[in-house]
Amino acid sequence: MRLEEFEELLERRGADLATWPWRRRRAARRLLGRSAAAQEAYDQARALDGWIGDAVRPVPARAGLKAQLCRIPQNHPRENDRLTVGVMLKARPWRGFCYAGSTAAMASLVAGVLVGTMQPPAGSGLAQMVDIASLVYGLPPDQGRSQ
Amino acid sequence: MGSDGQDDRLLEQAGQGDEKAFAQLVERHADRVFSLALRVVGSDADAEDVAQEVFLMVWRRAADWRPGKARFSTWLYRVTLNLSLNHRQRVVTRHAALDGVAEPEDPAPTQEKRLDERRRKERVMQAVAALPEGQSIAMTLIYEGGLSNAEAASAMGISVKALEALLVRARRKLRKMMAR
Repeated sequence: MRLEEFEELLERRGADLATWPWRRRRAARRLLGRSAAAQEAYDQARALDGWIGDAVRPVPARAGLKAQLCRIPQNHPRENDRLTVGVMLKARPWRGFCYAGSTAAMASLVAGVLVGTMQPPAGSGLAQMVDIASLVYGLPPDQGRSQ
Repeated sequence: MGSDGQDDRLLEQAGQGDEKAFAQLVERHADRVFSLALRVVGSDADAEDVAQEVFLMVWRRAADWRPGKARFSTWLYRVTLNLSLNHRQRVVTRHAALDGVAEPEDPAPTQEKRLDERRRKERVMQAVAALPEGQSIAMTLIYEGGLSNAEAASAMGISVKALEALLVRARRKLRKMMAR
């Protein structure tokens, strides 16, 4: 690498050699090892970078602004968030499950009472159902029926 | 976890409605967003308006963010720059650039070294502020934002070659000013 090229790269890319492409960086290091003029240019570029870096620091935003910014989610709820929460609250999908669950429980209770208390005539359809239910629940046949 | 990885994680959480994650993003980037906006729009109040617009956009877009596609900071600076330029067009009254920049505190008169340091810093600050807008923004993105040349070019919507031309001119000018 020639000195001119090195100086041009210093102006284009700054003095942080780590940000240079690998080949150029290697060539630049070799040049720095043998050229006092390159070393001087490098030192100047580093000093300039340091001054600029010191001078161009972020101007801190005031704390009040940061607090305002942090409130954006509350002040501007997103459509999706609103939809998700709103739909859940309005639709109350669990309501259906509750209704279905309680209806099934009631039906099962009524059926149980009927099966347990009714005395159908032997041979009737209902008697057969009771026999089947007895089998399902592991009861001896005719237990649910009076003799 | 790297800084970018952390941004990605916070964005993902903010996208899922996590307000604390969003607050952390504000804490990490508000100063730089405000600072860049201030350089373009020239007044604290306008820069604060821009910062509001920028972070509102972050909040609204967080759920759509795809990690790994781009660096969040590059996207953030591009948005800040565009919104600042739009904002400036809307503002009728022009303010002098860097109105709101806090001056460094006066050092003790006996501390000659610190005084020299302060003078030099002021000179560089004035010199950077006096640069044409494109050069000033390029310097800000590189030195303040820590972006690479390619990222800064992307943030400004120009080619890397064009960005490097801005940097070369700016550095030459600053070096000349500092040598006086």
